[in-house]
Amino acid sequence: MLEIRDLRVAVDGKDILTGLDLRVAPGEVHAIMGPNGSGKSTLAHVLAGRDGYEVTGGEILFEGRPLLDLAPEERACAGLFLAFQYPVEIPGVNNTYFLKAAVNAIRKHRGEPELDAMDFLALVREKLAVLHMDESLLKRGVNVGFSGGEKKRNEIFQLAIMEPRLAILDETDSGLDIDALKDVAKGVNALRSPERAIILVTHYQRLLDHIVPDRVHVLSGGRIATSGGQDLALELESRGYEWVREAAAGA
Amino acid sequence: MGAGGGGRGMNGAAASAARYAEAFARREPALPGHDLAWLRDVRRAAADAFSRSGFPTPRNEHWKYTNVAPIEKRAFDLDGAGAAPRAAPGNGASGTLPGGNGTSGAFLDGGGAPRLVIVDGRLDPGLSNLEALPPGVTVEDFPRALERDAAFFESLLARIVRPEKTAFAALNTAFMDTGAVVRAAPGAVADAPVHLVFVSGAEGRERAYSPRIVIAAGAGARIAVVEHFLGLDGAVYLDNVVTEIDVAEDAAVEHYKVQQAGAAAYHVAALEARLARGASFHSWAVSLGGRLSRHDIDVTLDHEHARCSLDGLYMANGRQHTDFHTNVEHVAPHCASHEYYKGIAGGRGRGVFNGRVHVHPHAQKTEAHQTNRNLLLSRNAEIDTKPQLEIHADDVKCSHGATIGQLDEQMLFYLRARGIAESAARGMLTYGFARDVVERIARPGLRGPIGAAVLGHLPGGGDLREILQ
Amino acid sequence: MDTPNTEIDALVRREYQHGFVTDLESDTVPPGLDEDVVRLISRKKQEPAFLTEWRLRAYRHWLTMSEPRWANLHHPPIDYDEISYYSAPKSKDDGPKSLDEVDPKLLETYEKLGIPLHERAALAGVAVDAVFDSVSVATTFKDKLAEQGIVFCSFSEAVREHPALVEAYLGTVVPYTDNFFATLNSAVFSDGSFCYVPKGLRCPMELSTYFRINAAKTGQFERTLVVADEGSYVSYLEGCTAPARDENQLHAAVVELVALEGAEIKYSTVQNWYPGDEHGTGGIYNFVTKRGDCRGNGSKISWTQVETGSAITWKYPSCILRGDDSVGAFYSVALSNLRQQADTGTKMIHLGRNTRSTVVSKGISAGRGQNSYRGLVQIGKGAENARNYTQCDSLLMGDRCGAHTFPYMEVKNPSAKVEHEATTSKISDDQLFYCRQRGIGEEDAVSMIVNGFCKEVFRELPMEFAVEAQKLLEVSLEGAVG
Repeated sequence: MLEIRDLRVAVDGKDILTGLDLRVAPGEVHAIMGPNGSGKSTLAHVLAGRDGYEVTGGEILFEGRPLLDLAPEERACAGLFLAFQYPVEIPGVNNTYFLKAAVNAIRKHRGEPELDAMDFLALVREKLAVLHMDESLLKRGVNVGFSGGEKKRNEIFQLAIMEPRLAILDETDSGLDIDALKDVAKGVNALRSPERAIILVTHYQRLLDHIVPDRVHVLSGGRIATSGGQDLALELESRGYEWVREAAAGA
Repeated sequence: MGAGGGGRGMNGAAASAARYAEAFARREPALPGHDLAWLRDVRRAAADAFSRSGFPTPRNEHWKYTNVAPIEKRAFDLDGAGAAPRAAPGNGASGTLPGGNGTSGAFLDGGGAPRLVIVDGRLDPGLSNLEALPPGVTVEDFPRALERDAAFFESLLARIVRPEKTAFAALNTAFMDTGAVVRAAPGAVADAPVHLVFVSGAEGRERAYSPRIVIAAGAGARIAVVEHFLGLDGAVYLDNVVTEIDVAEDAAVEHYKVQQAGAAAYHVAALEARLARGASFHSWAVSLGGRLSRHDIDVTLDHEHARCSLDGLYMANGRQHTDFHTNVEHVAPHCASHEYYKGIAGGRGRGVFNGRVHVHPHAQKTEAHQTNRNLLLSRNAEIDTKPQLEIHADDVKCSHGATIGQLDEQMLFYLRARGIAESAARGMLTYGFARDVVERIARPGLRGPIGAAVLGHLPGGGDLREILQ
Repeated sequence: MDTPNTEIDALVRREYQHGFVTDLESDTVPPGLDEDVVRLISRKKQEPAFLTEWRLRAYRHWLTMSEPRWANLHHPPIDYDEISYYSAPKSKDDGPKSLDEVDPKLLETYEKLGIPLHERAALAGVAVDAVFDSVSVATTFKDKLAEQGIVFCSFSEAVREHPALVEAYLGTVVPYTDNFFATLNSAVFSDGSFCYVPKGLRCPMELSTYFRINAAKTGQFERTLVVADEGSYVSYLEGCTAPARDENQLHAAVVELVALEGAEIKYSTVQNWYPGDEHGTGGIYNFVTKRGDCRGNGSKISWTQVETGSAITWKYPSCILRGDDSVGAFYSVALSNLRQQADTGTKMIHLGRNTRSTVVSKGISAGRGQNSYRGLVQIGKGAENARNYTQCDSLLMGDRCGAHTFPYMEVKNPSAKVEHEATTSKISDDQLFYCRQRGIGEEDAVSMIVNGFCKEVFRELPMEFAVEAQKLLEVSLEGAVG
């Protein structure tokens, strides 16, 4: 589904990713871990097509097509979803309206009929219940006045509504209390399916107690230093990232 | 001179202009620096500018709410301090000075902070104390500084506050004959603030004073200056002050202005600061005294990473009229300005605030925030406020807010329910309103005495001194 | 960083959609103004003597005045002798008696404008008075309204049919001496709309006027007078368009509203005069005086405006809150794109006790547009417990435009509470990226964010108008991102 080959990315002339390789197959859940500044969020942003990142080498194929030439909305329509680390506030635009516009933009792209208000509302209600979100949040401006936890739930709620092929969760666990973390994990687990892949970008292992990954990768120095199963995450938890850095330097 | 009887309108204006022109011609040969050709040109140009403009009228947008006709009508004595040295002040060098509301002494007591005291336009060496100045910092009275190092002034004087800016700045520039100069060499750091104390109205004459204050901080220097104007309550006089402040790269200047002019006095002051890259400027001003006062505070941020904050408090009681006009020019990108002003009007007082922020094209990443809050205490008081934003760049964060209101009835009730008399409760809440401005004084040592001065001007404030304890 | 700006640039470049000229035979007075022209206008309209005299007084006063210079507006001097002060589409006899008699070309024009005149008017339930080059051409639903005692007609007709009402209220809110442009209007106004709602009546439909400038080199000077008698209610809509021409045309209208005790007037405007092109050529100079007088206790006047057109907009729809407990409101969206300049805002003059006012202003600047909010909140000595809340937000798109705020607050009563807040922002890269990541294209994202910004104002408009306003905003901003 996703194939990243020798990806090199610079920001303001400084190399952040220095030859990253990653393959993600449908149905898989991959965790990308690493210390602060290792390039985890850069990877998430480059996948979604954010400005300000200079790709200096390598390529990314999404479902066999080159991803880097596509505009952010084209990637979204192709089925790539990024749950933001810092969800953005858009005053005056109500959450439901925003989400309906997004869903219908994607349906239109796929040649599917747009959802009418009733169908959409039914869909929304169903997903809200899963995430224990208050319906009043729908009437508020996008993320405006939401608490940190509400913002993160809202991201997963959007993910659930939009049903992408590939979901990238950028530090979705940061700043969540345990109840919110469980709700978020429940939401994500409900979306696991043989056709869908998920990339969890996270600093901590604790999210992985609730969403068990198929593969764990550790990012260090702009590339994947080591990969393994869930036990790797546990090892990181007990030994810290220094160990990986040293191992990578020694190699 | 007959201008007082000259009546209104053009005749009065023409008569007053003629009087100032005549006084200038008479005094010019003996003004400080009269032998410097460049300074002569500056003074003459300023005198000409004033002759052309005359005093502003309320038709001028900048003077919409402040009518200076009472100043125009008065035939102030423009003859300066005269040649003879002033007799030693009766109070001697004990540190107590004549002043409004008897609060002035507090500023100078204890610690022996460096101070320059000018009484009726003349340096008073007995009251001044410049022994404790840190290395690299010099403080002189204006005529002496000009005499000693004229070259220093040539590139600076009247370059920051342009004489054509206002009629009053022009008048000051033409007549400036007293004042103070504070200079900090690069890297110099002064821990104690320098006090510049001006006492006006001690003589019987109805004088117009034209003090010029110049503050220059070299690269990386850090200084604080207090400009304190006091006056005798019965005296009618005009303080027409101009302050020019030059803050070099990465230097920091704090400026405190305490206006406690006499109750019958007129006080007009223009201050402008020029900031180099990375420089910072903090202005804190309080207007308490005077029959009519007007402050113009201008900051130009034309180098990157400069920042300024402007805080102030104005109080108008009785028939006082007080007006603050602030203006921040954001010319360079990556600069920040913060402004916090509060006003209180009681009696038949009138408080005016006009805060302008101008973000020039290309001044991206500007951050400019302004707050103005006002308290109206009585039926015949008035507040006029106009926060003004002019923005020509898009990547900016700018906001302003202004409110006019009164004391919270619920709080008042709460205090009274706890047994506090209504007048005391009102005083407390009024001081409570003003207090956060006082707390923005960065020097803890100044907070107490300035807070006490503020309290002294509050209705019923005298009973509230223990709040400060 | 570059993308949104480039995109903003591209959005600006779209042609003015209402820029067609209707080929009609007009009855136009040669350019220039003197007492004879004033008399001629009055005669053509068969006006009673009081009105002719009033016009002449205004004209004579105008000669003593000069154009105001205080606004943040820059334009070449207007040559008042180059303007034709009267242009009427030629039609049979005394004008059309019904829609059938209206020049079909004219109707076509309105159709192009998307005006719900004719059949559509009935469907939409909107009564329309259409003013074409300052002459009212058709008023729909007149008869139906008349049955209930509501007068809704062209100003000329009101002068003929209801001279007492006109004489009683004309110039009582905006006197002929008021300001340069209002005084000019008082001398030369050619037509406009008139509405009177009798005591206790709730006008059952939205009343609507459409203004269009068509003839070249003409000024448009219409005058609107709305009187809501005690306890009545009326909602009044006004729309404006003009053809694209490369000279500037002057529009100097006056609107007077009078709300008597317990009455409420809601006045909504969608102004889309031709804005000129991106070089600043052509476009309407829109100098308008709008003022409402809350004359009676408990009366209420609210102004809602969406200003997307005109090369220059100079207007300050105001409320005089004279009656105790009266309420004033001003909701505004003003957009300046291309080289448009808008200096607009409101005055809330609190005179009565317990008077309240709300001001919500949303300024959008794009291209090389300059947008100024200028507002005055005045609390008089007798205005016990007056309240004002003002919120004034600016959105900047691109680095060559400007957004300015000039709020004046003058408070003379210690029981007043006045609050003013202003913010300035841009559409952030983060917001755009967030929308695009959710599959929403850049233009849609921009219009979504802009509409969100304007929401509090659109909410005040009647539904059909809100939709139209939203569309207008989108069209006006197209090319502003890119």
